[in-house]
Amino acid sequence: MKEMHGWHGKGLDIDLTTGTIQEITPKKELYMRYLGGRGLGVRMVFDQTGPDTDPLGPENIIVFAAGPFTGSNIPTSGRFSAVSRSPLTGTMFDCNCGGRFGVQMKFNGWDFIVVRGKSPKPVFIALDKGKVSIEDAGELWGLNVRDVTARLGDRGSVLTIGRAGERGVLLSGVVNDIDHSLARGGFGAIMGSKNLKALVARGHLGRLEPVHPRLYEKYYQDITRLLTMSPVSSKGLTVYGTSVLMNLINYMKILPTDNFRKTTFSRAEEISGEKMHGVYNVKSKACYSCPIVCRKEEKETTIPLPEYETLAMFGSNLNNIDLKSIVEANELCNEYGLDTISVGTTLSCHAEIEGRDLTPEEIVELVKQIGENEGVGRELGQGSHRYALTRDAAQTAMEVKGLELPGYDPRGVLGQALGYATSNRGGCHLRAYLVGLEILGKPKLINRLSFDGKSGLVALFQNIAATVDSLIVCKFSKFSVSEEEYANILSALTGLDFPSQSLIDIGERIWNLERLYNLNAGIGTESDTLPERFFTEDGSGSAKKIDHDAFMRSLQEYYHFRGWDEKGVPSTEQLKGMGLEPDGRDLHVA
Amino acid sequence: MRIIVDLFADLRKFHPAGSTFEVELEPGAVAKELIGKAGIPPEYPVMIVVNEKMAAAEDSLHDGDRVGLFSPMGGGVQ
Repeated sequence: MKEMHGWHGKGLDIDLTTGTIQEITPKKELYMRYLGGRGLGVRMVFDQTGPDTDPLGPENIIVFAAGPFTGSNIPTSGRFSAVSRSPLTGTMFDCNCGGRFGVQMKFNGWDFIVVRGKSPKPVFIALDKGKVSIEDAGELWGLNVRDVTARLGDRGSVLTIGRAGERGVLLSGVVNDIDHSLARGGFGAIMGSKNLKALVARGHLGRLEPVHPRLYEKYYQDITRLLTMSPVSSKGLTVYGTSVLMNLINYMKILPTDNFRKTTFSRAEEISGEKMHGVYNVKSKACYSCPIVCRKEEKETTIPLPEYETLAMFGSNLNNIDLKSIVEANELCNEYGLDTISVGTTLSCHAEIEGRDLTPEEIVELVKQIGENEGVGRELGQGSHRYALTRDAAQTAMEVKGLELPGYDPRGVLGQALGYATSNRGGCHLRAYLVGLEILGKPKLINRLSFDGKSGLVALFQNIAATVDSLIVCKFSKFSVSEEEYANILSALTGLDFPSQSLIDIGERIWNLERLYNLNAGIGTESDTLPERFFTEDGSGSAKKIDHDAFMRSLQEYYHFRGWDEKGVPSTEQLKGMGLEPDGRDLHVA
Repeated sequence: MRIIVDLFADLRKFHPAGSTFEVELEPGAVAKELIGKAGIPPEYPVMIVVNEKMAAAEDSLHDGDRVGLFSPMGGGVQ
């Protein structure tokens, strides 16, 4: 294949059943039309799995994918994705994180790794300066993240499951470099079901070189300047991290409290970023190639400090003011490999069913039980949807499509509410972060208590986020940098012409493909909704119950905006316009 | 008119007397006047929230308003 820039033009296909490793060289069109990361993974999972694929069976695949930016010095590009069919939601699902595995994979000469089958016994995959091996993980099986990382760390960046993934816990994730998580959707269980304990990568290639270095340098300076000038990326996140959101979200009365029964918490100050900075000696950490430096840890112990979502879902959402217990629960989730949002929201479901608050000690103990898949943790670890059904209390599960809701109550941010309901992977705030517009006023403030105009915005944000997840850059950079700058630098890096609109078109293609996959799996308009509570109960302050008719009108507008029919099914014409067949195949890349 | 001000994040360092305090303003005063009253330097980036709504610097205030002053921020987790 002609030399590519940004991409290597090749990846690995590893069959754990047979132990075979193959090099794959996709058509260039795969990269042009799906970029990398989420887009590339979605294309492969769509083509190679379907509604009959058991997410925890050998036929499911998991694609670890970098993007054209990964391994460059483009700010916030040090990220990678994992894509698969989720055992928690049954949907197409992807995660990404800022650990260094993806960069090291690129430095080995691979854009992606597809893992299929099931190994007869526990193994790990090692990438070492261009060599690939499948090795015995008998000594690692049963260990949690820090121990695995200590044992394999001298071989590179370690991406591993803890005991939760080994034991099939649906809320389990995969952890890279100790505390970067592919957290949501049960990817830990997918790896566990394949007897794949870990991957480790150490590369030999240098940083990516652009085709047009002078242009690339100019665009690099543009991006850096925008990040430095924006107070969000140079001040707010840098100094405090996301924990600083706690007091703001509480002030706006959209803070999930008491399993989303209230939206403001009188003791929010005690679990706030300000409090955390008072109690702990906070040190900042960055991902590879990132000037924002949002991550925080305790200086002496290097214990990672919780992000906003963890503070909300283990704090106000559980009526818990004990900051130390939240730090401990966070560390346990890192160690076992668990999703803090889903675990927190499943615990709050449990608390509501039990009719009482959980004590801080109980919270910590239950996280351990979920991680070990023991005791009541066995049921809780299946997620709030399944758990609430076993307790005949479906109305207490705060989830969409089986994925637990995160730290913004939908009643006070109606654009975000529509975003939750229409998210292809379930209750997620990042598919379309309308909170940025509705609360932070980034790039401009809009009325958060109305559905007017939200349908088009949600669709646009969803398309852009899909592209961002495929380049890959961090969504925090999107507060300051637009797709225009990314299109420019992508063009200079690869030598190929990517107008900014083409990036948004790629995002739209990815979004529609995910939607088709879900529709094939029977996940459609009936699940484009929110838990009943949000339509029947008021939250606090201005977060009143959502008018269901207004929501349905907005949903129909959203379908219409996307060129879908009234059941949210993409039309043949719509798909054709994106270069897709009616069944979702893409003949350009076949 | 009487306004209650809440300071958050690194803005608190400018008002060591306390992060919640009362301010007396002339009728017709606008939101940005509170920045100086809180001891915050004029060019320091501030987000202003008045009664649960993000406000612009020139928005008028009313007696009894509760105003939060925040550092610019954003958040999420994958």
